[in-house]
Amino acid sequence: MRLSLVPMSLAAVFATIGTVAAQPAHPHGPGQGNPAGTPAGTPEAAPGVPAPRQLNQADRKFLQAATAGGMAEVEFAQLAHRMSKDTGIKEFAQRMIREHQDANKRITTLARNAGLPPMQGLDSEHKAVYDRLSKLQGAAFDRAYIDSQIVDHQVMAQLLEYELGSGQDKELKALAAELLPSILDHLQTADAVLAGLYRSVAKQP
Amino acid sequence: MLRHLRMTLPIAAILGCVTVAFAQPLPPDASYRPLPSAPLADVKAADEAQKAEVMRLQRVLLEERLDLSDRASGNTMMSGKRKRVQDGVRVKLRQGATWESLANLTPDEIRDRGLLPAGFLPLPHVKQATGGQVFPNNQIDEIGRQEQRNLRRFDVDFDLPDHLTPEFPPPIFLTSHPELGDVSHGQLLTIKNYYHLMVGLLTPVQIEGLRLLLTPFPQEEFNQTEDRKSADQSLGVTCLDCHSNFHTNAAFHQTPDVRPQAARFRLDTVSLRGLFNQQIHGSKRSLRSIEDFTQFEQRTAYFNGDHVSAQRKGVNLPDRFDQVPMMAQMQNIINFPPAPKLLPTGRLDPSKATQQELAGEQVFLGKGQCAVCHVPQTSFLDNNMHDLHLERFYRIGQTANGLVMLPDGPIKTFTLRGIKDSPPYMHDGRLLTLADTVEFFNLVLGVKLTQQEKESLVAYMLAL
Repeated sequence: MRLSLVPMSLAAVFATIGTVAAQPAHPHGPGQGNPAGTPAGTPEAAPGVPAPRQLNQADRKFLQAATAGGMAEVEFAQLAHRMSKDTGIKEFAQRMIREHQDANKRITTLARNAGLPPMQGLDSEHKAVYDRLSKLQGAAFDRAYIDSQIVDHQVMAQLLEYELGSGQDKELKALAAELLPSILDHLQTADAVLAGLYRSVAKQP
Repeated sequence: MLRHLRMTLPIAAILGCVTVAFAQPLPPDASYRPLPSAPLADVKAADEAQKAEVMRLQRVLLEERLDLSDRASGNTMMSGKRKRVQDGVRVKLRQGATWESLANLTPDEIRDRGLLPAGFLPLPHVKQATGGQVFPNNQIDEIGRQEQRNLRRFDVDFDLPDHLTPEFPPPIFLTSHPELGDVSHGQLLTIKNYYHLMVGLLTPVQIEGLRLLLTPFPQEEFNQTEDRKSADQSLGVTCLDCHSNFHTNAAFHQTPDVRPQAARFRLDTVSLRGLFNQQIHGSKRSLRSIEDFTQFEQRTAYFNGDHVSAQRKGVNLPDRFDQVPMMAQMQNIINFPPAPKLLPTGRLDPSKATQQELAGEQVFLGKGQCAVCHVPQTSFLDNNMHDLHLERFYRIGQTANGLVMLPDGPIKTFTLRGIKDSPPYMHDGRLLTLADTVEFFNLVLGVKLTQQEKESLVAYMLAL
């Protein structure tokens, strides 16, 4: 089963994100935030509504972790595409490169707009995993890579849900809501790829 | 097989070190309730400013999903004869679909074409990001009148129209006095009137249990700290503020058993009628006794499963050896409403039931598969939790008014005795009528009932 993970073109996505604040809110999204999580003195666009790009702590944590996680996804996938001989792994890695690169551009723009310092390479945790993966080969690599993908997508799904509940920036929450179905789909696909590794072993004479 | 083992063993050895490195913890407020970052006056002003939009969004969502109109079913009344039972399927179909066409599709087809009616999806809290207990206006007004205690929130109102909730105040039936029928005197039991109403009917330990169930204790949204949603420094809430007269007033909350906040599904208050036959308690928690449940609700209904927040706002831990058993004894004598057409076995009495009700019972026991879990002989319970896997029918991860649509996982089987008194239905109250529940299970179980069978099933459930 192949599922389209990025339903809109990048241009359309930016157009959508850019107009989020201008449209009347609808119930198919993050809903209203909890003002108890808004720092005192936050400038408001309207009474009770934080002005655009006024981030709270959850927004910042989300941006930082999503940037790090998204970058790692692409780096790991590029490594997997080079290292693996398994068709399922290669296809999955290609999809991660394509779809996370798209998402990463949007996250990077939002992080830059928020004044966060740009990432300089992988964070230490992902770097450690990358280094371990680099030393593996064949089936050992495939298993370790897909296991890392399952964990990473579990973490990312929880992170997006965290932003939806605790963040306050409309743009970021809209992005989290839009990405979450894709991330959960990646997770389900990674589970299927893992199962596929053992099916292919069992089929060998 | 040997080849398989040769492959997997070295991998397993490597796995440990790879996965351990992925700690990446979420911040603590993904699990724990954060301290407010602004003064109460600021939060209250922002909440009040948001309120109209909050209510509008939820109203739009409800109207997109459901027909909220007031359409009662003839003269069918709830057990206290204070409110008519609402009729008809209220979940709206997606464009171009019919109930028959949907039932002929596979779950995969329904998911891939986006045809699952949105009213079958999890129902969000009126303000998902904040959550907390929300009481209907009838409860708020009556507690205000009797106790001068404020259950009104400044950030949200109750979101369902009054005609779609249980009758108020609900009747009370005691296992210890079946001959008396409803002993509520048409009043809402409160700390102000319980003794006068119940002395002579109850034993001393039951009266003491009742007193505790009616005594307000601090709660997450109703307390004395700056982190509250009542305008005044609140005395708190009581167990029977939601379980009015040991039934339900449709007050809602969020599950205390899930984090982060956006994933916490809505909880509709469950009736306490027939608790004496219920072996597991809580939609998700499967607590094994009413004593456990009574004790632990101070951690969950009152404080969202966050003992740290409770410690700051005023925790109340009823004494397990003395107070909890008395509260449990009181709850254990609350009976189901009378069902004159039912035999002691839980089956319909053919001399009293209509042909349609009897036909409905046959569907219930047979083609409809309802009785697989709702066993008539054991109060329409099986004392199990089941996973309906509704996620077979929709793409998970979409967000509706702040709630992420995720698999519900296993949920406790609820009794169907007196079910006409307990709208809305399902653990989160997503369905408004019994006809909705028939369409829901017709699809989820894939049983392909005819229109006639569906109608007989509703008639049968009204007799329970």
